[in-house]
Amino acid sequence: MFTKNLLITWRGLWRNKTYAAINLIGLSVGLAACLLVAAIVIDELSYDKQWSKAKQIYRIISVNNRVKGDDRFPQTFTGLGPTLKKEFPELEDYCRMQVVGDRLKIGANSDGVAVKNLLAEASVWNFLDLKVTKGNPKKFVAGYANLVITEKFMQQHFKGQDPVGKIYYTIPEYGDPQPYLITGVVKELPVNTHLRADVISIVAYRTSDDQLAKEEYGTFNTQYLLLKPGTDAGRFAKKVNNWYAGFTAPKKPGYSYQFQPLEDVYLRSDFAEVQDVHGSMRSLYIFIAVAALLLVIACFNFMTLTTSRIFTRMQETGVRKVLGASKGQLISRYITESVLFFVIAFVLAIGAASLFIPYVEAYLGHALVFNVYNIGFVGMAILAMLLVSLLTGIYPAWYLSRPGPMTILRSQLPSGFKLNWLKRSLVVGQFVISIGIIIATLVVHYQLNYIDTADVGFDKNNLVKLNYNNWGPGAEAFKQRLRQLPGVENVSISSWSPGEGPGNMSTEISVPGQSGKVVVNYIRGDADLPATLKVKLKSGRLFDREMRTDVVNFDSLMMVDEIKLNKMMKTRPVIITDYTAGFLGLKLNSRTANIEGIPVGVISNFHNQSLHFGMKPCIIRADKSNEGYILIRLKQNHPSNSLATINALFKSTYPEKPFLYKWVSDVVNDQYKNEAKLKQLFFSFSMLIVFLACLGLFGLITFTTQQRVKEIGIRKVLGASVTSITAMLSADFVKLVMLALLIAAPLAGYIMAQWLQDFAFRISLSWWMFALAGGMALLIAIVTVSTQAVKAALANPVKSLRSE
Amino acid sequence: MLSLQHISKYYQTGGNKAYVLNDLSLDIDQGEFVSIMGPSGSGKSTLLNIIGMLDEPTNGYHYFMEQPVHQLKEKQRSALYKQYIGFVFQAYHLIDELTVYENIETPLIYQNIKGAERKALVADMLDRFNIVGKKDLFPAQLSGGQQQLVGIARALIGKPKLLLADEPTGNLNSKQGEEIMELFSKINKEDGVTIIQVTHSEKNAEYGSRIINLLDGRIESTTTL
Repeated sequence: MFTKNLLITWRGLWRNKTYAAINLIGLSVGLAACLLVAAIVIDELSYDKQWSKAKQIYRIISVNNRVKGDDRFPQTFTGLGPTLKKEFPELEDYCRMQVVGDRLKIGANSDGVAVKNLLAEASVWNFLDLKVTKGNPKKFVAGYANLVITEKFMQQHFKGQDPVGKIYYTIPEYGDPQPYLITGVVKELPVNTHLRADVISIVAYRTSDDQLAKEEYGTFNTQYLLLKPGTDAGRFAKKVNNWYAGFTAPKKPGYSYQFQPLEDVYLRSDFAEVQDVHGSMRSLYIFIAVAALLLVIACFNFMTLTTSRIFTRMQETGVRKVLGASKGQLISRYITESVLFFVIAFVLAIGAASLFIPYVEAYLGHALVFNVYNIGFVGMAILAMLLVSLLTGIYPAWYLSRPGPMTILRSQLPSGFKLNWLKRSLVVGQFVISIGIIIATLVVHYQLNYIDTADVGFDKNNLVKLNYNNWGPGAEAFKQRLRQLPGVENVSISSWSPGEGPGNMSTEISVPGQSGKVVVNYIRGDADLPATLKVKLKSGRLFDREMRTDVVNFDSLMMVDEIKLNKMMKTRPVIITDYTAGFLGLKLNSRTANIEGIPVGVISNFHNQSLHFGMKPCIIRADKSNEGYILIRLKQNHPSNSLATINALFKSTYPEKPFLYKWVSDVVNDQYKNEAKLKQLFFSFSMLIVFLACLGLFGLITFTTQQRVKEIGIRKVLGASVTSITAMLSADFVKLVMLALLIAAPLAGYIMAQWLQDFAFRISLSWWMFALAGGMALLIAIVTVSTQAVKAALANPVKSLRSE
Repeated sequence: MLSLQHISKYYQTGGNKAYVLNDLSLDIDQGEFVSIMGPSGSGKSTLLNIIGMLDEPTNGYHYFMEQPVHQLKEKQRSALYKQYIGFVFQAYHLIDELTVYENIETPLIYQNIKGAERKALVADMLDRFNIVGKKDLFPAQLSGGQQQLVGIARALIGKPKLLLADEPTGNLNSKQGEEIMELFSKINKEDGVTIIQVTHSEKNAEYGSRIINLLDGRIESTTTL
């Protein structure tokens, strides 16, 4: 019976290809989106669960008791781990480890290879399951940092060689190169760990690092504890804190400690700003909600589309009932049909999802561990799919098997089969979501557009930034030579670069008329900084390389003559922004008590921070220092090899330093990375949801036109035009979409207004954004509805009016 | 075999009752071949549907095979007509997704007859109606006459005692119609199946043993041939 039903269903699909295709596409799109999100969610939940001792490992979290509120951070005194091990038998081991960025001098590239380096001590072998495939790295070789590389790393950089036993040097931005001895090779480190790294370097700590100071000072680093099996972490934490309170010199210790389970580190570390690799439970919940929503919408669409075929099905149902079918038999027949639909859609969805995996990985920024090829995952998905298909199939099956045997003798549906409020609210609901998400996408788009074109007060284009460094005594000469390169217009050494915070220091001062203290940001730059940034002068002058006061090296005076330094500090020339002048009441060329320096120029406001932040007083001080970022202003039409010539000059001047540069425009744009990602997400999601909403609408219009086929025929015979009939059929749905707009607009408006609060500089929501979103939704709805409405209107009334 | 006593069927429209059948009584014996005639709206189809238990009268008594149908529950009624009655329709009402073979087999499936037996019964029927070569075709691939032949084969497969036919030749040309009527009389004579047909055609009506003329929901006249 089951196979029979399958066969019949298959024939039915084949006969109604349009219907089958529309229903299948809708369902597969919904399922594919669901699969992708499920893959993301499972991936996020899998972090750090693969280690065999995962349940015994905890990260130490320090709680700063001296600060009000929640001030926690995932580092602690270097000596805490070793001291705890001496004090507490339930502690099996400790390991100080963290992932750091490093550069290794490997291969021909003079800048070496950038690696994520898991800097750990030897106990790491006891914490993580690392499978050694080459060498004997567990035996620590004193005198070096021992470098353990992964097989993939060996493949990439030591193809056909045996690097074990060789020494490689780091290329530090600061300080001297350090030797790393490669002691072995291990299998790949998993991607789904917050300790994601390319290599592991094992270092020995000095014994002095193992001491814990009673006065609560010392170096901080990240530490992990391995508790003996069966130890209750909560009770252990209590014991440790009690002990620590008695151990420290101050009666009330400045810190207390929490032990965060390793499995929580990835998802539950919102407090840990320094942790590079982390997710968040909040976005996980959002993802789950999105997946659930898409699934529900896809299933509802399936129901609407399936039940919309009641007319075509009525005859079959009636005949089968006359031939003796019971309701149960018919229900099972229609449920089989639903399940088959789901199975086909599921297969298509797996195909579609695997096509989109690379995009999702690009969006997430890392590879997914659990993907659609994973057997366990697919098995679970199949079970879930079968369950969902049964649940979804029951309603249409019940609905389709309702008409009694008498219906075969009629061409009209019996009463009770009207377009009910449930289906109407479904359409309204789908369009509320669609319009809402379109509004959100538009708002994000226009805000990003506003940011992109906003006048930030300096020219962010054609500006190159070299990483912060100490350029040594040759700094000035290097600047000179850079300036002589063909494409270069200007060069500056500055303590601040766009995108690197508001300045290099700040003070808090009292300003008359303002309650509380006001933050003033200072930017320290050489005489060329204002010209290099291309800030706009409003009055006074910019800094001048030829003026003695503008080229003082304050660092060099620091140790020499403090009295002279203080005096000079107070009278050094500064440039202020328009806003600063107004806000602090500063006058050109006159001193103000709480500001160090004398304003020599006023420039147009410029955004030293992203547009998330409001204007704050900002003061640029002239200081000829050898330390800082190097900003290189290129000419508008600089040669295409400008960067290469700069690199060559850099290498000949600083052969031991890596050439690390960025375009300032990229840095500035990076400040809005989250917003750009949000736009991407909204955009894809809105496409999906609009598509699904259209399918739902399509199902309903098919249903209604079929139901009104007689009415349409009569109207046509009475002389109605195709246009008027199309309009009549569409009107109902246009009303539903308008209703959806009325609900969605204030809702989306409210949420997006909240979102815009994140920006001190923002667009204002205006009526036309809502109108545009509503118009788009309406247009899409009308197009969808028209396809069926026009068809119905064009139909020959002779056919529809013929009875029996 | 069948007895209708004081059967009425009416619809309430406003304050008026619109009678489709008005106090109609009728007895039909086993082995009869009855033709019901009458102008449009005289209640022919309604009468046939009531006999076939697809429709219910507003009041009156209805006995079929010694059972009081008017007292039976929906389930019992459907069990009754499933066992004893076969239907033939003007519009054939074959299931489009099923082949000729499968269409004929369907009632047997619903009567829970085993696969092997079904196979034998359907093969017999195909043979008898001379449509073995068409068994794998779909209804859309057949002519109207052939479709009606399949419809009759399907109605007979469950070995009904009573065959109800609502204008079985209405959609057919006269030659095809004649063949179908010949078949009906053969079934009636050779298998002893009672047949009640609704028809507009005098000629077709004369294949039967009795003609009942309806007018405005009442029996106007009865002719025994």
